[in-house]
Amino acid sequence: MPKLRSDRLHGTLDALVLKAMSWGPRHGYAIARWLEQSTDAELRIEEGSLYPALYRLEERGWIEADWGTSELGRRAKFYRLTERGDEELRRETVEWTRFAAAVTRVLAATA
Amino acid sequence: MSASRERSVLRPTVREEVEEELSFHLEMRVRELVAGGLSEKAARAQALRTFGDLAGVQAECRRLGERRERGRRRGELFAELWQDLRFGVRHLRRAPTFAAIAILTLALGVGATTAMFSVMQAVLLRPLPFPDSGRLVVPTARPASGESWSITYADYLDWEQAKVFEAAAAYRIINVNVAGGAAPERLVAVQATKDFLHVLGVRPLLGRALRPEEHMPGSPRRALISYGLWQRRFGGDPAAVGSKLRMTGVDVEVMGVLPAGLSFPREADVWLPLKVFPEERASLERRDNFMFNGIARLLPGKTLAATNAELAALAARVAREQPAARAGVTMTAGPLLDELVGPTLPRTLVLMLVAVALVLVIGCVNVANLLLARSATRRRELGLRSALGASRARLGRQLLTEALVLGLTGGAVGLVVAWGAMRGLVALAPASIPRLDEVRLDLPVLGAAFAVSLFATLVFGAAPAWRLAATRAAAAAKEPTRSVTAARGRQRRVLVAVELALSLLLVVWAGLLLRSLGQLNATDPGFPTARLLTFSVSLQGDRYEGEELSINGIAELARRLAAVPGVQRSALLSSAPLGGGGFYLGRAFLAEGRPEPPAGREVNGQWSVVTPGAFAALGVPLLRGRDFTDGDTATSVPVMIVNREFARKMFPDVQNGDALGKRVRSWRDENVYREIVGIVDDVRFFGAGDEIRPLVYVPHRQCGWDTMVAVLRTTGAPDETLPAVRRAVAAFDAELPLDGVQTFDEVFATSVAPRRFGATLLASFAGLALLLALVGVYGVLSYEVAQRAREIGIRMAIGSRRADVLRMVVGEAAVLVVVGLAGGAAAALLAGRFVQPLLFETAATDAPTYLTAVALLGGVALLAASVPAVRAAASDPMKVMRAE
Repeated sequence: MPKLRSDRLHGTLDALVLKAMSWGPRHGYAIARWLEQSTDAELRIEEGSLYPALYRLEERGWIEADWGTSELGRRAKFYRLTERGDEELRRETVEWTRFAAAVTRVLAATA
Repeated sequence: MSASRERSVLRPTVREEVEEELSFHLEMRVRELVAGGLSEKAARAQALRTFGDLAGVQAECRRLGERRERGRRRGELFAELWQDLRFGVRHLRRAPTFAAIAILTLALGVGATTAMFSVMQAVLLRPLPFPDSGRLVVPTARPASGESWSITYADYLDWEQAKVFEAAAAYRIINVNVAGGAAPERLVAVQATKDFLHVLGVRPLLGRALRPEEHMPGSPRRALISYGLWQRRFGGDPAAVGSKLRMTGVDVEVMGVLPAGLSFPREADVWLPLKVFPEERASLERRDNFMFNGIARLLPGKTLAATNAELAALAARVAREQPAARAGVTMTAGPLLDELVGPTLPRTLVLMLVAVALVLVIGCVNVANLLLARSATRRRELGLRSALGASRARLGRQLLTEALVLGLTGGAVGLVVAWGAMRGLVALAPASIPRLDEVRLDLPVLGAAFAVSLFATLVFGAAPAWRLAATRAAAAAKEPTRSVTAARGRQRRVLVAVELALSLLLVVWAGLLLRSLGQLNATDPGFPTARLLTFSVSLQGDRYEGEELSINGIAELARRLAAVPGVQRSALLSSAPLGGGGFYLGRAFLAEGRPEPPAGREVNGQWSVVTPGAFAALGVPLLRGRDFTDGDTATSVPVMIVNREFARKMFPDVQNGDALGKRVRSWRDENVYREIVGIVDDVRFFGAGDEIRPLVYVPHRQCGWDTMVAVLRTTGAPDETLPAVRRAVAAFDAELPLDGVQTFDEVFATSVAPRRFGATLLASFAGLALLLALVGVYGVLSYEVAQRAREIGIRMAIGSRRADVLRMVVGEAAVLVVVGLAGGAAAALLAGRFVQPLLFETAATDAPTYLTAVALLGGVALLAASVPAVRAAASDPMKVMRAE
């Protein structure tokens, strides 16, 4: 039985942000756009809350940041997953899948 | 430009980064919305709306970013520190001889300093063991002469009535003969008013304190005893409480036992209630009967200054009302701790601490020199690291960390040294230093040792680090190791000059104290001390009750002592010269026909009661007139014998000090005219270092005294005569104990002991400093000669003779020595005023001492210089040149 972490929602945002970087380094705006598109606006994530989340992830050592040049030739801060961040993403994914499955089983039960 | 500075200049701040990142986000969003068909203005508004709380996010990001940045820097610093520490330890292990010498030097310095501080802590700084002891004070009477007197019973009554203190007590110290043990023993007892223990905040360990009604005349005889006496007499049996102790010829019931370590005064074993009998009252309450000691506890929240103002006001009133007894006398209270420690000891201990700290600094200078020499050989390594990107601050930090490894290791070893030195100090110290048994390695002392180690590290570690900052790191990497820069040589030479200066200071101090000790040892006490046995007896109990019985008792004892085989001459005195014990009593005197002088201008003299033959027994020459005889009795003419100094002070106008036949009275107390029948020579009264004082002797048959000091000149060794003396005393009174049995040679040694302690200690510090200076001068010069081998080789190749080389090297050392010694002499002269009060018949500027010290240190320094100089002169120029 997966444990329900009290910061499940926070953790969910973290997992989604990490996921956004799993294809390579991205800047904050790209991550925000990806979240918007891939959730089809089903999950309304306040754009502004993304940045503190990024800083926290960086502090935990799950992501690293570097200044680079954006597609349009402007200086931007790019984030990429660290090895530990990659592990965390896998763990979160497994945990969430189990959690969702368990909840689904309960809700779908007929008797 | 160094790496770290580069970072701080070019790296944007967290605030700038956050702003740039967020503005990038908004710009991208606006661009997208504009592409979707919105106007620039509308797009901007919507972008901000979708973003949410921009200012809030910005602040949060900045907070998080800055926290991260701080953590990163701290982590870096610790990583560097750890790296440096490991590097430092590795470095030291690669140079074990250097490390051992440096650590040992530091350990000696830190250990000696710590031990000295532990003595200071125990004696001067640690509070007394009584609860809230900072509020305990000793009130004293202060006459216009500036002396410090004890107090009168009437003064104590004033304080009680005016409620000046939270609690106060008057007490006097007496001695009591206690019988019933293996041998009768004489103990120090305190007779105190009812609140004595309450003032101190002490409760008995066993039993109870004495109640106020037990201080009334006629109440049963009761006492408290010390922990020590309880152990000694009763073997620690609780049944001691309630049992009887036979003292002063009567039985006294023991009511309680005081806790160990909480006795006051320390030497006391018995506490008795002070009972004021009606017939004594008038005498006790006289305003000029200063026979009590005071002790008091300040009111909570009331300062010492405010209390002293009240005491002064009370004293002023008394002086107005009774000018004859008290004109010019005021009252002042001082902290109990100050009173116990006395005026000279703090100065001595401070001097010792300064001296030992100087030894530490000299040791540090040597270690600094070693480090400098090593850093010279390490220049390439450091230059390389610098070229590889290590900042100069980083390298400086590394050198300091290495120094810290040395300093802390030295400190740790120093604790072991301190522990040993502490025990040595305690064993060596004279008994007159209070609380020395409390010396231990406690938290403040450990803290001091740690602080001293850090201080030492800074002293010796700063020089190489500072020098590093002064070199061009890039250039250093290219430079060959051998070449000597003028700057480095100068720095090392300055250090050696400082070392010599400090050593001279120590040697001068040691010399002054040794000279004082020599002067003191050479003082003539005024009588020969050889084969002179002394002890004290106190006639107590019914068989001596009353003046006549007491006087007859003393006379009988004197007769029996004189008859002991092996005793050449003997006598009894109420107080022995040279600090030999007894009851010291200062009185003011006035010659017949003179008006009473104002307070502070009277002629004072020490009052001694003596049996006939006292001067012959002591060997004090009788200059004029006669000695007392058995004919000087209560019914004959009152007489006195005075010393030369008294005659000179009292009759300055009489030729040759011939005061025979004149009449003098002690006008404030006895007030009887006594005729001067003899003049004796002066003696040192309170100890070998005492000034020459006016003394007055009166015959014991005219002034009863029950506690006397016996002096016996023996034909053989005093030890051999002692058993017969004891038998004679026991035959006289089996319950009479002999107290303070010693020879006058021992009395003399005891009176010299504090100075001997100070001089020995300082001489050993100076010896240590001398040794360190020798090593320092030798180290620096031989290093320099080695560095200059090539130059010397060239000089010799082009015609310099060996003598020239010798002269050159020694000459350069001589400059160093002269500068150092001149500086040291100047420092010693400046410090003279501080040292002067500790000296005896020696000026702080004593020229022979200075000359000897300069010659000694100069000689040692030149000796140290001559070894490398001779080595340089003996070198083969061809060999040296080929080696390069």
